Amino acid sequence: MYQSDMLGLIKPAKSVTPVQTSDEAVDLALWAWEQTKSIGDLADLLAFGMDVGQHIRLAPAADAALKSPEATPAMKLVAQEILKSGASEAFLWRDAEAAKSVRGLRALLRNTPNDALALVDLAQHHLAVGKQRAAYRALMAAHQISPNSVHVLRAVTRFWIHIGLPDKAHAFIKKAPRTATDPWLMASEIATAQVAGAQSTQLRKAQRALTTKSFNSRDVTELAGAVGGTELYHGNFKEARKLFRLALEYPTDNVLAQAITNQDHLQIEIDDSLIQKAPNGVFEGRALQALLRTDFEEVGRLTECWAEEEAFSSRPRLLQSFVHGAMGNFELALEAADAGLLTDPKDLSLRGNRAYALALMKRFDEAGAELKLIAAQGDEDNRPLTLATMGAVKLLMGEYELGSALYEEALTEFERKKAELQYSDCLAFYARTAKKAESPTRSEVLQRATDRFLKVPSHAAAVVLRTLDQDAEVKQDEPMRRVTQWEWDKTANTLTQKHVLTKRGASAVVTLPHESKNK
Amino acid sequence: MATGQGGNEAVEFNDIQQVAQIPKADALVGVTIAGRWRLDEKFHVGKQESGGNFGVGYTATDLQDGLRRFVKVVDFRSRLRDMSQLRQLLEMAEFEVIMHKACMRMSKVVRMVGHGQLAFQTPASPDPYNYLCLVLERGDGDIKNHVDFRPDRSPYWKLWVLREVALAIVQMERAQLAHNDIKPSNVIRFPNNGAMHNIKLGDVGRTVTKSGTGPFDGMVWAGDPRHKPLEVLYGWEEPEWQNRRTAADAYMLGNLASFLFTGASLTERIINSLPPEYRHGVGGYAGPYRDLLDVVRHVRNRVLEDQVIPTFPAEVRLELGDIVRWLTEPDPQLRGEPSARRGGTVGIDRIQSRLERLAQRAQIHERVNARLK
Repeated sequence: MYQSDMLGLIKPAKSVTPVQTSDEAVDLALWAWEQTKSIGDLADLLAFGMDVGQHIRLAPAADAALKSPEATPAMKLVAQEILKSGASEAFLWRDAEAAKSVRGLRALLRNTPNDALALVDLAQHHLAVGKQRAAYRALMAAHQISPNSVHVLRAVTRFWIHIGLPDKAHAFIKKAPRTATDPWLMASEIATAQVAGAQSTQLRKAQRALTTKSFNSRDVTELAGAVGGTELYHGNFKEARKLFRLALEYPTDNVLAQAITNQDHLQIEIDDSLIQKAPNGVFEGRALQALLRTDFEEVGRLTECWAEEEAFSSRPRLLQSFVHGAMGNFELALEAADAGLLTDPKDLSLRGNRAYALALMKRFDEAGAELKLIAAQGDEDNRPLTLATMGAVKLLMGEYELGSALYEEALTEFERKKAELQYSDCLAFYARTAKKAESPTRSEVLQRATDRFLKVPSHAAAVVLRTLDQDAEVKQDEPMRRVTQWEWDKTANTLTQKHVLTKRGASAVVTLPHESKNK
Repeated sequence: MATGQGGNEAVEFNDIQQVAQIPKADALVGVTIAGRWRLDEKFHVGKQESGGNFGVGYTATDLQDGLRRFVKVVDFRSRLRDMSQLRQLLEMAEFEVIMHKACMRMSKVVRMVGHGQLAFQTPASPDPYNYLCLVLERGDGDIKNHVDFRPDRSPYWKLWVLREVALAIVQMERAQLAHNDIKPSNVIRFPNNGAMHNIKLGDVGRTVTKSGTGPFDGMVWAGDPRHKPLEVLYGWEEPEWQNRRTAADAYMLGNLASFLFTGASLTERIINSLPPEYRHGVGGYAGPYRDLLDVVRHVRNRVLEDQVIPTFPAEVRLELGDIVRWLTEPDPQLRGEPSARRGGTVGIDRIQSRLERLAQRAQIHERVNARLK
């Protein structure tokens, strides 16, 4: 059967438009299917599903495909997408465990060895199990295939940071020719320079580009986040706030995490609607949000999902081991720490959490071994935590005086560093260990911990004190600013979303005055 | 009155008929054109977006040899009020005739049997009202009516279809043409040539020419958007003709393979498998296609490996998988048979040979299985 000329499909040269199919072409295909009821005509008709504008007209055909025993799995998938109009199992299919597994990736690469993204995914899998050399090889292969790929360049940069070579990471990203013109790579260079303690070559250019709006909104997220991060680092909170407002228009998981982590300084409310905007990495943002709500059980669940999403990163396991430790789930804390150390054996914080879990499980020799490893690194930042964990070991071994002395030394260190929240945390943990160890000073320590909590409440301290049957609530944060606000125009009966940085405690919806703005 | 030679040449006619009332283009059932082609049954009437009838299809009987034909009747006079549309319509109709003439000797392209004017004159109006007519070979319908997606069916027929379409592309390529609109509804089944299935490519109305003289040559895309190559979707225009047009035909052949085995367009599958921020259009990806190649290639690979290639029967999966990967390579500069690519061409002729061998192998497999039952 022939189709008549489709004049409606002619487009002028050099114009690019979204996929639109003519109603006439759909008419024809619908007619053909209605005439023949053949599976081939049904399949051909369903192909119009790529034009969202045709979904309503295609619904009966989609329905028929789902019911037809002759329809293929692909046709049923298309039909589902038409009926659900958008999201579908295609995403599940894409993210299917088998496909994302090492075996799935290797199978893919056997047939299509020039798949740079598959190589990057494979590298991440290798990193997740500590195979750094294998990860390096995969990344170099990806770089060879696609030397200018933003994804590959960022992945290689992250790799160098992950294995503790930020200087190399910075040198790499700095010299990539594309870095000077691509906002994503500029963002990487700025963030990497900060980690490496080096001068960024792109910061000034990035600041200018953000001011002059040289890049489109979707592309400046990371850049605004990176420059915002630098401003935060230097204490320029007002400037940082403006930049994060911009970054949160189309937030990535990274930007969300930064915004939540620095919420105290930024004072920007991060609600669910913002988190949902991130294309992926929803779990990190949600986990951090739950942490700030002191909902540690939820954090425990979300970090598991986050860890699945970012198998190559030790960060979800670090948070997971910490929250389980606070809740008194020491076996889970140990499991999380072990999983994290597989990815990053050099992470001292993970080792510290591991040591704590072992100590509270009375596996003192193993705890001692971990603490020795940490001490051998000579990392000053970890010293108070190491002292506290050693104190826990000694208390539980019945060496009350030594144990208490070690805890007191840890507290002194926190005080010296003005780490107020960590001081509260440490005291709460001390109180719990003293109780478990049946230390003669346990009541006194508990009193100190609860008094301290009233003055300087912290989330972890609240959770630990609750395990000691204490009433410990972290009061709601001060009202924050919003980055979006809805304006309701009563006269025009319209609701418009504005991207704006509001004052603290501003309402989510404002009503415009009766007088028209166009007066 | 029909003029022109018979045999392989198309007959050109100028038929003026005296009638009491001028019939509309969609009311010509029963009319015999040039004393030869009797219009028997009307097809679906195509309507231009701005309204009005412009082209009607009919099945017809060729009174000379009893064969069935397809007749396209174009009413360009109804566009007389809109001069730009009239010009466009005339240009396209003329172009289609020219293309059919250029493809006359191509065994795998639907042949034009006749073309000309069919005019009606009434006593009241001496000025005849004329329609442009195109008379084409008519087959047994397009492949959509014949395709069977059940996994236990022999792949022989489907492989042969692909082989035939590949040959059509090769024949057109030799004439420095690219079809530009290869899709299931333009792949027509004809009565078998002995033991072989006979498949031809129809509707050369969207063809592009290397000479740049066609009305579609300057356009980014004039074919069906459901089957367009990925680079065209993102507005990428390859400067070199082979990489732009022949490579587009190659992609559509690969897309056809996806349709034959999965019932889905590969373009549609890839688009709907891309993360939203990488899809084209408003709110999606707005950068150059080259910068997105890695993502598109990865998604295409996943779609092929997860959704398409597993549907190929085991006995042909390896080779057919390779062929489809070559044909649907997202980078048009790399698309095609690898050794041909090294020589700078897409290599559809080599792919056609491979498809032929695969089809023959499948046919043998089918016969052996039939004997074993």
